[in-house]
Amino acid sequence: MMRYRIFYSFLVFNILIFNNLFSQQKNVQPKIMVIPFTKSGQDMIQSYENNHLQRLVIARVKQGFETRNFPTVDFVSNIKMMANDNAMEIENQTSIKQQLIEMSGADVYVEVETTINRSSGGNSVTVILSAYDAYTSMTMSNETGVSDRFYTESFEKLAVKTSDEMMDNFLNTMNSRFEDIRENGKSIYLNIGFKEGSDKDMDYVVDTEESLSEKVEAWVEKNAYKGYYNIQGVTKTKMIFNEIRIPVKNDDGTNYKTSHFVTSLRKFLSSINVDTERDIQGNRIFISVI
Amino acid sequence: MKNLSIIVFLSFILFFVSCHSSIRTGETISITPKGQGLIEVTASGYGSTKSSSVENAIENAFKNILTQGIPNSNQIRPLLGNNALSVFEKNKKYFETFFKSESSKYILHQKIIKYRPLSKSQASSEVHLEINLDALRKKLESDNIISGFGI
Repeated sequence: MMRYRIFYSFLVFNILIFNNLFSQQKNVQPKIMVIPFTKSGQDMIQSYENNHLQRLVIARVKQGFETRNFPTVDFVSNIKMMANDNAMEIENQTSIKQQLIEMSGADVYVEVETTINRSSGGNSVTVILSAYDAYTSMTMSNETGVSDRFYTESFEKLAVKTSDEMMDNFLNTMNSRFEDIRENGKSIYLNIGFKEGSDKDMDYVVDTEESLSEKVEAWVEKNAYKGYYNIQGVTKTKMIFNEIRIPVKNDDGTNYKTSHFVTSLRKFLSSINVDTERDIQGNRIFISVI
Repeated sequence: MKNLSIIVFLSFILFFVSCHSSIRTGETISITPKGQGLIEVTASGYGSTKSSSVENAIENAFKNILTQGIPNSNQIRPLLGNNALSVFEKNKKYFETFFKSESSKYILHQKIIKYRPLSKSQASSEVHLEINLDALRKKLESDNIISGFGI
């Protein structure tokens, strides 16, 4: 009898352990791409190919991410893929950058800028690293470094030393943003509009007490992670939430995706007889009421 | 003449006060920003013997890196993250063991740069340390004290 009890306890313990292991999925990590900084109108590929100092620092920054076991999306292979798709015919260089970020699927991009400073007191190098959220353009980390002045033309050494000294703090600031996301949820942008010919607008009375915009806001308040959301504005034809926090994980430990939030919102709208179409671009959601 | 002797007397007092307070604060100062994954600091500490004051200085250095961050260094943010103090409090026993037997593994270079016996039962020391931040971070990650880079 005692043997059976021990065996039973052992079995239950193992089942609990396995359940826990399998329910705790690995978090879906953001994709990060390191790109060269370009002035407006400047060709991105040319800037990359002609500026060896920038290439060197880009490689060093990628290496920095790898030391934290975090591989990055390769900028060169993505831009080559874009060139194959004839996307480089676009004249506007800003569009190339935007398209590159969208096509690569990067959630975060890091811009690297290097400048050589020459003076009678010696030469130095300035390195600027800036990380941005690709969907909201919010800054995630920003670090500036200026090397000491030396009577040298070996700018590579100055650039490498400066970027090495900056990397820890740059990555730590980024990680502190990630920590904030883990604790307070990730930010999404929601834009609700109306299709042409729709017979509804934001003042459409859903029931005797509340309009559509009030109903939507109440739903978002209830479903935003820790109730955190911010409305940019509401008009008769549009309602924009510039930030809604959604959880990174479901209660059972599986990953909560942006599409899960959209599905729930559309189910709710459908329950109050509001049919919709949706467009999801990363963390940006566009809902059109039919 | 009387005024001169007062000034001399006050100067003596100021001199002694400043000499005593400079080494007993337990502060940690970055020397120069190092390459990725390394930090070089001087830290001071005190105890009943020379060795205990050195141990205290080392513990102060690690505590500051973990919970406060060191200005003008590679680790200006606390290594334990945004809620460093609560993480430290939550894992007090872990860190007690760490300071006792583990912290020395992460010191690449150690040198006593100042030692001063303050009284029969009190001494203070200032130590120069080079710490392997990368290895320390990985240890804390593998022991589930902090999360790895990313979400």
